[in-house]
Amino acid sequence: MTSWMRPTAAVIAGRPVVLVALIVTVCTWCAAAEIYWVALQGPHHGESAAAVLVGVDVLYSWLLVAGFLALVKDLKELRIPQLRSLLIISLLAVFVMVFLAPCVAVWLLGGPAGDVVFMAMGSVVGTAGPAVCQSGYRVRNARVAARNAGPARLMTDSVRAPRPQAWRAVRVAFGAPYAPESWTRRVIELALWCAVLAAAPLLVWSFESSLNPRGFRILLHVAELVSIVIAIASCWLWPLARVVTLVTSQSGTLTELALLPGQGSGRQQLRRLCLVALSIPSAALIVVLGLALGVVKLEHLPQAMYARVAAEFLLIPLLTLPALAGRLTKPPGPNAWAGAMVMFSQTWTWLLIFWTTTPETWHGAPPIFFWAAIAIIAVGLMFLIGMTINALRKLLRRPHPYMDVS
Amino acid sequence: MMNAVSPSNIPDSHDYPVICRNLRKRYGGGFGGIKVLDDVSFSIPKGAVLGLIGRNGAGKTTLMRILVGLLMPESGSAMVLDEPAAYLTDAAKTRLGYVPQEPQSLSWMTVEAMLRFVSSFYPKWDHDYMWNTLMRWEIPPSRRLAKLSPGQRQRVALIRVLASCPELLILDEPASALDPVARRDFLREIAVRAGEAGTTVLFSTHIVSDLERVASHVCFLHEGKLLLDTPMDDLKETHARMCLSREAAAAVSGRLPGELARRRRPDGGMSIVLTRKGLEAWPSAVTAGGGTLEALNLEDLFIEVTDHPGAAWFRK
Repeated sequence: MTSWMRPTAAVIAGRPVVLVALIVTVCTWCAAAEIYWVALQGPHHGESAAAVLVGVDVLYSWLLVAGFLALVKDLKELRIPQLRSLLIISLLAVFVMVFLAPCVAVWLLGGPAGDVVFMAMGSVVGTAGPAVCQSGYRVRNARVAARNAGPARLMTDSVRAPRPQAWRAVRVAFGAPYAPESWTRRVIELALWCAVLAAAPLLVWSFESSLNPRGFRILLHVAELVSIVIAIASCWLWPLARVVTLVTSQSGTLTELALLPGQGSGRQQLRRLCLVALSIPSAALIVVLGLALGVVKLEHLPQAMYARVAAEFLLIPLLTLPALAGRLTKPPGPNAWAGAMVMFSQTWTWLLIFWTTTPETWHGAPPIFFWAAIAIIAVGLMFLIGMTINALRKLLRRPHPYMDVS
Repeated sequence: MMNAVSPSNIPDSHDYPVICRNLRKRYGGGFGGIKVLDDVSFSIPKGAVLGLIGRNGAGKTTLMRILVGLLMPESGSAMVLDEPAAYLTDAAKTRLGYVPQEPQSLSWMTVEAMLRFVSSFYPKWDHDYMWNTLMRWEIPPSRRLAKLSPGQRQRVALIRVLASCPELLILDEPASALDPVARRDFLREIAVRAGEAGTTVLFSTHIVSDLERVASHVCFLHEGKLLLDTPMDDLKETHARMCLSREAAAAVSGRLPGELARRRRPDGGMSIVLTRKGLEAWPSAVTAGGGTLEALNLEDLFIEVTDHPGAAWFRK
């Protein structure tokens, strides 16, 4: 028993993200099923809930089958003696979880036969997705291998590729999301990103008729807040976390950048590093700010809310840049990480304060409190800006920004 | 000529691509700081293959990172290709190749994409060498670097650096993850580059046989100090182990001239590693009949000199 359990556990532990994604997806599926069941109890038939459930089921099946294919690959590499029986058991489990369980669940929840058929179709789409993607990947790889193996390759490859501009080289070295990509890929990524952001508010919107007006507005605001948080995390924190990872881990990227010819003097390298590291997150954050202001306008909120939202978005770089600059100047260590995490967490405290404070809050309070609050905020901001400037000053003193002075 | 442990011997010449003077480096400040390099001075003549050998934590990687400008020394100076190592210009970078101990850069790219990207920065990039070696070492060009085994990644890093045709190669344990066939292939390439193209090579290793095969000069780095710095050809003539019996050992009171390290044997005798300049006579303890003199190969010499508490005291 343990002969196959141990390697299987090793495979799962080796890719915990697959397991975590699976658990999250199963929970999401259960939540969607519950919504579907609630919708079925109401006066409406619940078509929108069924559509949501089928959509979640497609994603669920996709992840499950993709995880299964990855597992098959890993198990083959491990060359376990009981591979065949293990694969058959896994295949049966996937079949039950992808096809049987969702359809039976819908039927048990009292869904009509049409919904069961839709659910099965969703499972088929979700199963076909990763298989098609993998075969496409294989075909593409085979083409590249054929191109590389052919005699014509040596002829074409002796032609020198044009040297990319220095800032473009930094982008390439940083990888996704900084690396240059085709427009098609960028459009697909943008569409996916918009779909993820719009999912929660649209889901709430689809239940408008089933909810009372107050509950609907609260849910809608929560959904919007969740979307904004996801947007900020994906636009600002994720790219900067990527930079921090490159700087702190021994990934070799900094070595590559430091020794790559054509990067200019130390100052030029620092300027380029800052420009590349901040340009894409800043542009994305401005887009998210535009979206947030658009939501404020759509909901006909008071004028003061525009300034408040803008101030919140200004706080995000103010709070995170000192952490980033600190990471660039200091050697890696748990304390610096903890500092960065505290900084990130403070963002949401500030957001909460901004969302909840109104002019009436200060009504009746001694003026000293008001001015003390202003002074504390001003000192805090000056401290943060000072930290950033100090870190940049330290970086400027180095011969080049990729040098370790520990 | 390479006997350059003393800073006064180090020349200021274009014929020496690497010149280090009194390099010191300490990790961590205050009293708890760890001294990694202590007054290291040496130079490498053009076309030489210098093998740097030392135990784990001896300071080899630190020294190499200082030489390529990735680390700032506490004091001292390092000149690489006639430029300060910390301020290498683009022109110097095109003439310099460096392979770190665990090459992991640009791991999200495929082998082909990475090599194409890097090739555009080097005017003398050898595409034929790149493709031929990729095929010879059976590295799939379409595979992501992250998906390669450590040995394959090291091979790709070597191809990347050798295809750029550098004048100076700095290799930090380049053969540690290679299989014997690839290692021999790589060493042959190093010997050819040094012999025909005049490439200067500095490489660190734990594998003494590699060093004996290609190195023209050898350096022992131990506890941050340079214990030995000599041409390989002179090594056997200038270094020997003197084995003394119990009685003869009792007669040896102070430190002998040219003594590098001494070790007491379980039988009460003593073995002393000695060095001499040129063909001058060995110490009188040998000639007086109290001891026998043994030739030392590189591995024995390394173990004798470094596997000894406080060996760093016996500096040349």
